[in-house]
Amino acid sequence: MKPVVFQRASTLEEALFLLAPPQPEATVLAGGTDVMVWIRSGGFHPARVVDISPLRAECARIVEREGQIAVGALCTHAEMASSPLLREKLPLLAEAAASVGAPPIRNRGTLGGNIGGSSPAGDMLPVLLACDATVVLQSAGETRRIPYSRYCIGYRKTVRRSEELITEVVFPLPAPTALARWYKVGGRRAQACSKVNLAAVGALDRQGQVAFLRLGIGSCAATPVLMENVAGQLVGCYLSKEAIDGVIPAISRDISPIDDPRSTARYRSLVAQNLVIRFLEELVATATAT
Amino acid sequence: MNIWMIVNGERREVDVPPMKRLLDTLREDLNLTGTKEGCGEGECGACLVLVNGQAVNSCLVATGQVQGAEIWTVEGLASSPEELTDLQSAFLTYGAVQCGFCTPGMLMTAHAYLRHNPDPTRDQIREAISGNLCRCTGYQKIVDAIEAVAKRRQTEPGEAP
Ligand SMILES: Cc1cc2nc3c(=O)[nH]c(=O)nc-3n(C[C@H](O)[C@H](O)[C@H](O)COP(=O)(O)OP(=O)(O)OC[C@H]3O[C@@H](n4cnc5c(N)ncnc54)[C@H](O)[C@@H]3O)c2cc1C
Ligand code: FES
Ligand code: FES
Repeated sequence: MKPVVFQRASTLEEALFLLAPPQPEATVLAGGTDVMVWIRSGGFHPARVVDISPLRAECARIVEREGQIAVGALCTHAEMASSPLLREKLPLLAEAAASVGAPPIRNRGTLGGNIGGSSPAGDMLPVLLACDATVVLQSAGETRRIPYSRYCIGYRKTVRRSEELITEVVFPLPAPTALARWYKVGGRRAQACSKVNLAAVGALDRQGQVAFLRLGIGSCAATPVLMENVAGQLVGCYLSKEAIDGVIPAISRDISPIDDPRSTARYRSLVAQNLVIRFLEELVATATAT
Repeated sequence: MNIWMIVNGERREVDVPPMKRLLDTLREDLNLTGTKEGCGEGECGACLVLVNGQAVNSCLVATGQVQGAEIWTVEGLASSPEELTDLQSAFLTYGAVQCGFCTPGMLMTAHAYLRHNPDPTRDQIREAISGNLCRCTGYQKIVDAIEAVAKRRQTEPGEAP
């Protein structure tokens, strides 16, 4: 086998140059917690690797800007989990990051890598959907901003072009009245890929009707899914017991789970229903309490 | 590719393929065989080392990525075989070592964690070692050892390395 060409980019500019045509397509390497496993399991033989881990100086910041939170693509899960800014303003993201793998995985794995791989089980991805986050893609020639709801278009397939780097993700701040919850169901607490994960953001208006509802669910289809049927059915409605029970068919329309080594389609459907209903009930309970 | 790094406080240079796993470079090129391979895919923590102060699985790091980095392996803990650190001694006294395969990774995890949180609860210790699998001890004695070291360091300040 030909030796891999390994290039270490020390600045963003250099990385974009190394990815730009006419250079042949390269594999971007950040924390390596996915890439190194793919290589080891034997199915993946990159011809050229561009190591972007030195770009931390430019692409690992978490800042608030114009009512939004921008998180650099090279932020690790550990950094997101412990960021005071995220814990205050976007705890959903911090909590989901804290649920990834185990400490050494969180010390290496990055937000950009989670999006780059776009596994249906990726734990950051339902959060991106629920928060309506935008992925910033940069290439030598242009910058594109794509909402994550339009980013992942098939099983591990994304709209990213090979010359583009994910540089940051921008999260609009959720309304202060919104309830945000992260639910992850895995085989064990640490180091488990999700069987089902759900990021939920929603709020009721003063009359108690659903003002908005964004549910991002993972491991229940070929891609992470924004549950638009559920939202479509419930926005503008009171969350009566009947309304909540009546949402089950919409949940089934939103997801298409499969059997795989981690779980079964039947189990996943049931867990998806339970989690969505639990969130809706929490939404009612929190509104009644205030 | 020529790669240099500071390993256990000493500058070392190796000439290895850049995608070679740091785990293999440590074991094969630097003869530091204390670092073990369990799963090779980030699950077990037997290969755990510190890279620039962070606990990471060396089976998931390409050697090319650690150019110029500071690396600590289990061999760097004790200054000599006779002078174990308090953590290493506690692992022995508390029976936290049976077959010993997980021990280097456990020690490195605990070493890094106690610097970050010198006074952890038992639950926090369990969470801290949740990326390190042990097939022998059932974890209790490992948690006991780490807890005892933390407590002792609290009462005898200045002892901590
Ligand atoms: C033991 C173990 C447990 C895990 N547990 C979880 C878990 O609980 N939840 C979870 O979500 N994931 C989990 N993972 C998967 C993985 O850790 C995460 O997906 C992580 O976020 C990947 O980030 P990385 O920087 O390591 O990615 P890398 O492996 O470096 O890259 C992953 C992919 O993204 C691309 N890429 C990386 N950065 C960029 C960028 N800036 N721009 C464009 N493309 C890029 C790469 O080319 C590659 O295709 C686990 C992995 C292991 C080994
Ligand atoms: S050998 Fe690296 S984590 Fe198991
Ligand atoms: S002592 Fe044998 S694996 Fe831990």
